[in-house]
Amino acid sequence: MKSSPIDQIRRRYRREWLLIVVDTLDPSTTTPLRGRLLAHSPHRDEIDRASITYPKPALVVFSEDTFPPGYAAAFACHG
Amino acid sequence: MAEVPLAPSGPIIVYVELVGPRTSRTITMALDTGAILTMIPIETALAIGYDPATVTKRVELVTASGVELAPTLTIETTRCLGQAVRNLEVVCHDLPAQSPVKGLLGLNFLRRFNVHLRFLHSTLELSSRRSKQDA
Repeated sequence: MKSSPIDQIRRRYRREWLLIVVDTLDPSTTTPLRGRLLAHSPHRDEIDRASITYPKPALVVFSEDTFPPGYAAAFACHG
Repeated sequence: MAEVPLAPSGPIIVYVELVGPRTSRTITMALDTGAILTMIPIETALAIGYDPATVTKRVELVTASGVELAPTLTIETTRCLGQAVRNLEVVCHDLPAQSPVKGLLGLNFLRRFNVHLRFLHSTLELSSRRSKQDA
C-alpha cells in the first residue's frame, strides 16, 4: 500500500477511528507525517481490537479533532 | 524547543508516542493542566505490552459517573513534542467514546518542561532546560 500524508488520510474519513502504520515522523515535534492505513471504523472498539493484535508501531487516531455537535469536555485526572 | 500550531477552538491536542516492552503506539491526547497524572486508554496499554488487569497499584479517579479505581502503570518511554520522558506513571482509563482524543497529557509529564501556550500566535511550545541552555 502506498504511503500518504497523515493529514490526507484523516481528511478522507468523517468521524472514524483510524489505525495507521507510520512511515515518517517528525522527531522534533513527535508528529506523524506519512503512513499507510491498516483499518478504519466509526466504532472505536473495532479499531481498539485491531490495535491490540497488531504487533508493530502504529498510530491510533480519530479522523477529526472536534467533539460531536452539542458536546463539551471537562477533562481532569487526579490520582 | 518544539513548536506546533494550536487549533483555533476545541481541546489542545498533541501526538504522544508511548513505548512499551512489546511495541509502540502513537495516540492523540488533550494537553490537560488540570490533570495531575497522564491518562492512557486500556487498549494502548495492552497493545504496547502491559496488562492493566494484573496491576495491583490503583488510584481513585473522580469521573462524571462517580469514583472509580483505575490501574496505574509505568511506561518505558513517553514522547511528545520532541521530548522524551522515561518511566512515566500513567493511569489506565478509557475516555468516553465521543472524545476525539484517546488520553490526557497531564502535569506529571508537563512539569518537566516549560510549556508556552501562545494563544494569540496560535502556537504551543515545549522546551527543556537543555534546549534553553542551547539557545
